[in-house]
Amino acid sequence: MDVDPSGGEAAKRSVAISELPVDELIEYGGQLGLALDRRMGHGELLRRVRERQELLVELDREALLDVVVWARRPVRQSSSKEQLAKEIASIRKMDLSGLSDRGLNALARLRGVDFDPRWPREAVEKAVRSQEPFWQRVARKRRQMVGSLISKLIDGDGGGNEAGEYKFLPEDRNAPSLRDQIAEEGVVGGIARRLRGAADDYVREKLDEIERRIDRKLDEIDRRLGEWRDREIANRLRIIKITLAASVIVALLSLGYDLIKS
Amino acid sequence: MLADVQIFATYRWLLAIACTIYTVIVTGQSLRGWLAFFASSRRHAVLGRYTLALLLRTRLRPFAWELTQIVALLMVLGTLIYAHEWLE
Repeated sequence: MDVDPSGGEAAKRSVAISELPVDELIEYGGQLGLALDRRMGHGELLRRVRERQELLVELDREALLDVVVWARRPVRQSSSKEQLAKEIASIRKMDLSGLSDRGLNALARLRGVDFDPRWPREAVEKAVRSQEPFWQRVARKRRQMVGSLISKLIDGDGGGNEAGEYKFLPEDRNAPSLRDQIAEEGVVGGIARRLRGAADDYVREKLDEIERRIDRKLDEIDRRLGEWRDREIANRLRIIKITLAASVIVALLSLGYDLIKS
Repeated sequence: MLADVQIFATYRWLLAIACTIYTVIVTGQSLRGWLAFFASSRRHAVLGRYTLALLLRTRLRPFAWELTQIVALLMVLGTLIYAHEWLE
C-alpha cells in the first residue's frame, strides 16, 4: 500500500484501501500517524486515510528523509514516502534543534499542527511543541530524566553524548543482475529465472501480508477478550463493594440501636 | 422482647448463610457448565486452555481503586464488629 503519485497505481491502491475492514483501516492509519477511532465510522476513517495519503504525495521526500536523519531512525535512502511516514509516526522526540526547515514543516504537517509555512521557524517549533498532549510531555520528561540518570551511571559524566554522522541502512543489492543471469544460464533460462524470482517475491510478499493481517486479527480478538474479562471482574468487584457498603450501613444502624438500648 | 433482638447479628448471620449458599450453588453450576463445554471437543479444549491463560494474565492494577475501596470497607466493617463486641 505504498503511496505512489502515478495515476493508475494510485487508483488501484485507493480501491484496495476502501475494501479494508474498519480495524485494518485503523491499524493502517495508526501506522501513518493518524489517531483513529472505531466510532468514526468507515467513511470517515477512509476519508482521513486518503487525506493522509494525499499529504504524503504533497510532501517532499527529501524533507521526510531530513526528519528520519534528525531522529536517527534506521532507514534506507531509497525508502518510499510511506515507509518514511511510518517511521516518522513513531518519533516522539521534541528537541527540534538540528532539524532542517523543510523537515520541520513536514513533521508539523504530519503531526497535524495548524500553522502557516511562512511563519518564522521559532513560531513553527512552538506550534509543534504546543501540540504535544500534557501527559505525553510529562512521560517524555520522566523518560528523559531516567535516561540521563542511567546514562550518567553507565557512561560516566562526559560519555555517551556525542553522536556520530548518520548513516543510512545499506541498500539491498544482493540480487544478481539480468545480464549476469543471462550470461550464466542463457537468454531463456536467465529471463525465466528472473520472472520466477519476481513471482516468488510477489507471493512471499503477499503471504507475509496475509500473515500480518492474521496476526493483527488475533491480537484484536485477544485485546477484546481481555477487555471483556476486565469488565466482568470489575462487575464482580462492584457487587462485593455494594454488599460490603450495605453491611456497613446496617452495622452502623445496629451500633446506634445498641447504644440507645444500653 | 424487642430489646433482646440482636439486629446486626441476625442480619450478619442471614447474609452469611444466604450469600454462602447462593455463591456455592451459582459457582458450582457455572463451573460445571464451563468444564462440560471445554471437555466437549478438542477445539473447545484449546479454548479452555486459552481462557485459563487469559485469566492468569489478569493484572491487578486496573482494579486497584476498587480493591482499595473493598479493603477500606472491610476495615470499617471490622471496626464496627469490634465496637459491637465491646458494647456487649
